[in-house]
Amino acid sequence: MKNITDILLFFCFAFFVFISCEEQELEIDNLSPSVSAKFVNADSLQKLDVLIADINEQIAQITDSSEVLDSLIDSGDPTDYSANFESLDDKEDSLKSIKSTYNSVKTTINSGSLLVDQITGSGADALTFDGDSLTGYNLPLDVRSDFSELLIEIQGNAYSVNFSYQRDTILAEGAIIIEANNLDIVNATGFDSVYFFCDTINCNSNEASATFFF
Amino acid sequence: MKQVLHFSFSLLLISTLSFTCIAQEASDSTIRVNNQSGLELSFDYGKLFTFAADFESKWSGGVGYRYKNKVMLSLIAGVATLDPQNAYENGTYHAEGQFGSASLNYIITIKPGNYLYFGSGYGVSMYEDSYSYIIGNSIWPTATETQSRKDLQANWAFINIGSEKKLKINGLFLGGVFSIRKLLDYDEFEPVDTYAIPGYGRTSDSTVPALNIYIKYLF
Repeated sequence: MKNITDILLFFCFAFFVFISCEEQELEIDNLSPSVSAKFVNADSLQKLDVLIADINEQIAQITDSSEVLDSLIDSGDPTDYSANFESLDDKEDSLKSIKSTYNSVKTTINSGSLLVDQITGSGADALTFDGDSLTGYNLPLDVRSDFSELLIEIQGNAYSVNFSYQRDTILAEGAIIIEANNLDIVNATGFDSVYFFCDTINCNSNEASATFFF
Repeated sequence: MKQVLHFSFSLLLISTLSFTCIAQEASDSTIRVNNQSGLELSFDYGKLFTFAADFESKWSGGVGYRYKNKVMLSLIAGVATLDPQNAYENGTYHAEGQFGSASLNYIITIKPGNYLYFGSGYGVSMYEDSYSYIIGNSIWPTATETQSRKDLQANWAFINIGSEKKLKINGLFLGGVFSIRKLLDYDEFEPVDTYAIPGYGRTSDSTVPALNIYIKYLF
């Protein structure tokens, strides 16, 4: 019995020595608040809308031409218009194909899929995306301040957006984190318009989203 | 880590029970047994183990009065420094302070020189704590923060069951005691509450088990 106790004591002591040597790794990433953002090239959308409207007009003209030919045939014109109909159909098919491509591009732009050159801030590092187009970006907020000025570069053009918020320290899932509540966009420069969406009472940054049109 | 701590606790429990078993098994006819009374001094040598770990260090000792091997009044005092690992995923916690307890125990003589006792008591701790945390960011500089809180107090009640053996050396006892502590009150904080109290343990557990092994001298 005495030997068993000695062995147990040895294991106890060895265990304490073991855990005293164990290093604790702190998990500090992915704890910052951020705002979900989408960037939409509104200028391109407008240009595409103009092009699509033009194509619609040309298709309407083709339809009119076909109707004119139909009316001539109905009125007893013996001329063979088969080649004309075929040409008009080919042209219409071609225009519809181009229109489809333009609509597809519009859908992509509306989805927010876009290559952002970089996101940075005053006194902050730059976040780059290695040529990957994304439909959504997270704009990180500075937890050391109630205010974050973010600088966004898209296709070589500089834009900026300023967020204000109230910082609240909370304990969540074993980590001490800082939430950004009562979030608001104070100022945005370079964009045509901004759509800011936040449907919670305290407007937590992680539940807010913004769409920037440029 | 939690499993490892449970394993550690189990080992300590087994070793203490082994000690007490030895105490109960030993039949030393040379021990002169009578209804001893007197002042006692005790030292919790189990806490020496804590100095091998970097997450806590404790000292604890006590003074008591034994009355005719029937009743025992124990006053325990100690100091503790706690640095619990994994308190926070992205930070650390530190607490240090003094603690004390008073308990009244009823002693049953199992056989001459071997005693079982049970009782209840009240503990109090006066301490200070601090916590720090780090929040990384993909573009902004890492944020670090440290908060300290002083003049904190906590108190708890507990029940005891323990065993003692009188050693060959006159007046010397070896013992172990198992306690269940119930936290009564402590200084609470939002959003980052007191994590651990010197002398009690983690505040997330409103009742905590405790094990102490000690050597005692009866004057």
